[in-house]
Amino acid sequence: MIHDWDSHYWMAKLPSGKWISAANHSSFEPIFQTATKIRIEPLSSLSAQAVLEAEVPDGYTAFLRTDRVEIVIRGPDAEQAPKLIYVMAMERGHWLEPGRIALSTVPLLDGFRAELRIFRDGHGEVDFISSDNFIYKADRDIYRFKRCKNASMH
Amino acid sequence: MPVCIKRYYGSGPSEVDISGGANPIGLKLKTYDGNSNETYLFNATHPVPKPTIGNKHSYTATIALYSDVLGSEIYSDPKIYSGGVPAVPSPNPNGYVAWTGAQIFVADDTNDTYTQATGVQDDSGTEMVAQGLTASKTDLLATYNSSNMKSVGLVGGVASIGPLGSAQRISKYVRLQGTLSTSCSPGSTVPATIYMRYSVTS
Repeated sequence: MIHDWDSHYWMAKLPSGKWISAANHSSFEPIFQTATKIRIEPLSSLSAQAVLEAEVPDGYTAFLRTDRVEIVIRGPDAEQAPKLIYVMAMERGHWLEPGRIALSTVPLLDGFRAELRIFRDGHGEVDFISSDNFIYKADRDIYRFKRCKNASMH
Repeated sequence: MPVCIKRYYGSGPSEVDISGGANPIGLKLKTYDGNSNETYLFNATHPVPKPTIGNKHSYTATIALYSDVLGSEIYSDPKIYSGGVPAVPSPNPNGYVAWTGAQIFVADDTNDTYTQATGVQDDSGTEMVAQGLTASKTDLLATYNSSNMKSVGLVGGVASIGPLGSAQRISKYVRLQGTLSTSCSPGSTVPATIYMRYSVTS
């Protein structure tokens, strides 16, 4: 589902080569778990122009979340805080319903967590943490996350 | 209204959307210094006076995440945190004072049972541990920030909730309380920021 507050949306490439997206699917549907590649893309030219992309290796589970930040009480620093955080995560192993898992309960053992943080002025920042065997490569505005044995942490 | 933060109050309880920090009966810090010798927190109508001994407290505020988005979203990992203890700005045209002697506590325990706050109007709310709302509490501004968020838990203690069939509270109740000590400064404290964050699978 794409919301009116979204600046980005996800796409997933199925084994058949067909792409599905948040426009007509939810990432908690079983079909999403068959994807071999996932992307988070800007919705328009007004969105922060950052793309996250990852291959889904055999034996790994992909998780997508959109974290929303709501203000309870507002001080001046609230304007500098992100309002949306697109989370792309990968972890080795199998979960029965990964769309229903609280990501905070999935330890980072063999995988990565990437966050695209969208701030209130519209700009974005990308953060990435991983176990030793995932790396990222940035090519202009595309951040590619990839399994790489014995890679160092970034 | 998509997902919002509601404050629950009174005996009912009544509820009001306080998302964005703009609602005056929400958790808004008072920016009024009536006689230049007291610090006020939380409640613009019935401010907490500066104590001459010990502490005085605001009435405990009860908040939670609420959603009326039906049939499409799964929620998980609700959290609360702050922007830290704000420094006095320079220049300081509003005459804000530091948070010395003033704190906002968050109850360590969250639950699904609403309990109305008690206290003495225009004097002090009942301290949240003393009222039995939680076994312990933590200084929110000094402890919880974007690198160290407090997990709140979903209603019913489930790992995720949704897609919803009807509008409902989705997080447990979180309780906040302002506390003043004798060392607090006269004037209005620098506005602080408190956030709630939650995950959506969509």
